[in-house]
Amino acid sequence: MISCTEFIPAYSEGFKFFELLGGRKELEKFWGYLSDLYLKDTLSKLVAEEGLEGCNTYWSQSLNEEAADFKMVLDEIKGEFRIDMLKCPSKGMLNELKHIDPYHSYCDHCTALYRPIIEQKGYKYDEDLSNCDEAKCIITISIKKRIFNNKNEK
Amino acid sequence: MKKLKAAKGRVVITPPERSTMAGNIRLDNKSRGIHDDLYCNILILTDNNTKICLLGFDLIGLEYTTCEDIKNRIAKATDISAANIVMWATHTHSGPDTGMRMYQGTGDSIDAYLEDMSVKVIAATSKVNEKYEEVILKAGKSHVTDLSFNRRLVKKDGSVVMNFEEFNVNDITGTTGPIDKELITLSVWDKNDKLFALLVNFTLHPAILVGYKWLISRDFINYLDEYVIDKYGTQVVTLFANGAEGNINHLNFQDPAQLRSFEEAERIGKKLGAYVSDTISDSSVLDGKIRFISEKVTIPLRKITEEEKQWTNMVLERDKDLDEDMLDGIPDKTYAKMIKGMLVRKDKKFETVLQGMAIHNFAFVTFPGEVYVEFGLKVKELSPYKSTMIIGMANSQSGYIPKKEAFSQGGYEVRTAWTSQLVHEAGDILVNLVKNKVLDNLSGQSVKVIERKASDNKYLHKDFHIALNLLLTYLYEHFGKDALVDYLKQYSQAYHKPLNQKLISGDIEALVIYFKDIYEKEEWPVNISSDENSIEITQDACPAITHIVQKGGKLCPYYRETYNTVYKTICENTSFEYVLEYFNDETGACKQIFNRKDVKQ
Repeated sequence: MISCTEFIPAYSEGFKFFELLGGRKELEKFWGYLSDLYLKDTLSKLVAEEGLEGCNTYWSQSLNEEAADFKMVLDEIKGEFRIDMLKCPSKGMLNELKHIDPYHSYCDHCTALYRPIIEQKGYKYDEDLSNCDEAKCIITISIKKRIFNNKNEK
Repeated sequence: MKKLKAAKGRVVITPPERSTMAGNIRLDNKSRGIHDDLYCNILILTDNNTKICLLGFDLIGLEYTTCEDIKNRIAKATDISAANIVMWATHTHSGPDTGMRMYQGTGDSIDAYLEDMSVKVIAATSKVNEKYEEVILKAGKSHVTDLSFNRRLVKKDGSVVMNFEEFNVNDITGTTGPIDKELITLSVWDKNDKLFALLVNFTLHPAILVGYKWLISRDFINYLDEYVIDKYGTQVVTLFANGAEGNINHLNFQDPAQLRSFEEAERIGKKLGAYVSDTISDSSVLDGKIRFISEKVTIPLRKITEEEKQWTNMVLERDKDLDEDMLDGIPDKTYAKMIKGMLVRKDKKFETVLQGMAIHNFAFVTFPGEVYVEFGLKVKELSPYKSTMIIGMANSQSGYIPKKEAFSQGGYEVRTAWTSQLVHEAGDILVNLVKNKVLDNLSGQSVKVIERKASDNKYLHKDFHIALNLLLTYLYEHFGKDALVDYLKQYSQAYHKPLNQKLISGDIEALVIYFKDIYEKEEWPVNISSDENSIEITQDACPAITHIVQKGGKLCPYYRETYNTVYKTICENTSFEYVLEYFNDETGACKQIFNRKDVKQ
């Protein structure tokens, strides 16, 4: 069994394995598959039904379960949901495993998984991965300004 | 995007002919006919969690008890909570006298009208509540500078005169305050992108007609509605909500030729309609949950002074033979009669309810009466929302709420009467209440902050089992079983390297500790028995398979390799061997044995 507490290294090793099989392209194909299937009934459904609050519902559950160190702000007035990841449980665990090297672009999987779903639902996805080696990042999801041009007169 | 639904409708609430009219004092105050029907316009919004019912009445005002009665009866007839019903009057001066009850002796006919109107509104709201459509909301805001005017004029000597009173235009230096230029629209669109309903908020006394020709009318709102219907179709229900219009009307003091007529009401209504159309065109989509708050509050009533009592007695005696008749404003005798009535009331406080709703960067808040524009502007300044409607004459009719300075300046709105009954500080009290009890509550609902330290939670994210199963399935389906096994070998060689090294050194206890740890973290029952030569692990089900199946996932055909391959790999180059004695592929029930190879079992 690979317990859920061992998933992160299994995941990282999986990325290496896919890259060996067919390069980065193959890995990205897998990420696309995972984004479609893994997040279909969770993040994707929540955002479709609840908008930004769906993001809040999804990540408040997953980040609490993953025991992350984070600050999460849902600001409906600004039309923005933001996660300040102060210690990513996933990257943090890989950094702490001294006998195993993480996949070299491990943090890219978050963007690959989340961005398509968020953008497909009409939101803007921004990230700051400049400190991701220290298991820190910022994800911002915001409402695109949608101006209505009046073409619907009777 | 947050899914919203809406229902709409309207019901005619026109009073019968010869009803007592509001908004001005006349000898014969009975209506002579109906120019255009009065309506209660209904819009119900829901996000499936919160349902808000908006009722806009073409009336001069509605008393608190009337509002509470209608709300409670709607709540009884529907699934709409009484607290979530927002009622307001557009403040037309050409409707029945429902707001202030200025006239003694009209109570019975007004009571009969109110009951008849209530029955119609409750039935219509119940019917509207039966049919919802999925909608998109859009908010727009623009500035309108040529339709509304501050009606308190300052003369060269510093005194204040109302713009509907007599004055010499050359003697006027300006006004005591600003106007509220904002026109805010909340437009509701159906799935075909057709306008479904519209809430328009603009600050302007509907006192253009003031009972002109003694005819019942919605005033300029009738023409605004006509414009919207002409442009967007008859399906649109338009709710007009007045703003902080206590000292704002349509009279431009520099234009003495300005008429009081249906033509003037049409000019203003249609021009406002064109502005509304422009504002709709520049609207932004609202995306978010409906946030709502309803708070009961009380405001102290003004004390009648000894001086006012003496004045009342004097006027009632002085004017006993005079008729009460005045087109704009209120005659002394009527004031005196109102003060006399106020002297016998027992209440010390005015009871009302303040409400607010927010979606995304749009909000509205309510005021109970005719609040001065300065207070409306202050609330907009305090609001964190990009567009904040001030809805006056909502849920009750407290009368005018002037600025404190206005009481020393004088003028129509400050004279003690049913039309001006709250303490001088009422405006400031209300602004504080709206800020603290409404806006702060709404923004508290609209902005959520979660901060967690890693140590605040335990690490158990079972959905990782689903992700791993998908990884294995993808590998198997795209590259076959060998690739799946190769991946698991690679993982086990890398991750379990320290464990493998301990086994090479003969440390079987390390394996026992490892298994006890992972099952404890999974919070999963398992039997682990061991001696110096072997370990037996028996489980009735696999925690991973159980979770995947529970969540409706399809298990990878070779999921058992997460046991078989992973643990065989741990034993590589050690004196131990791994045997998966049995494995139920559906449940993961299994028996696993680690044996020291050189010992006969």
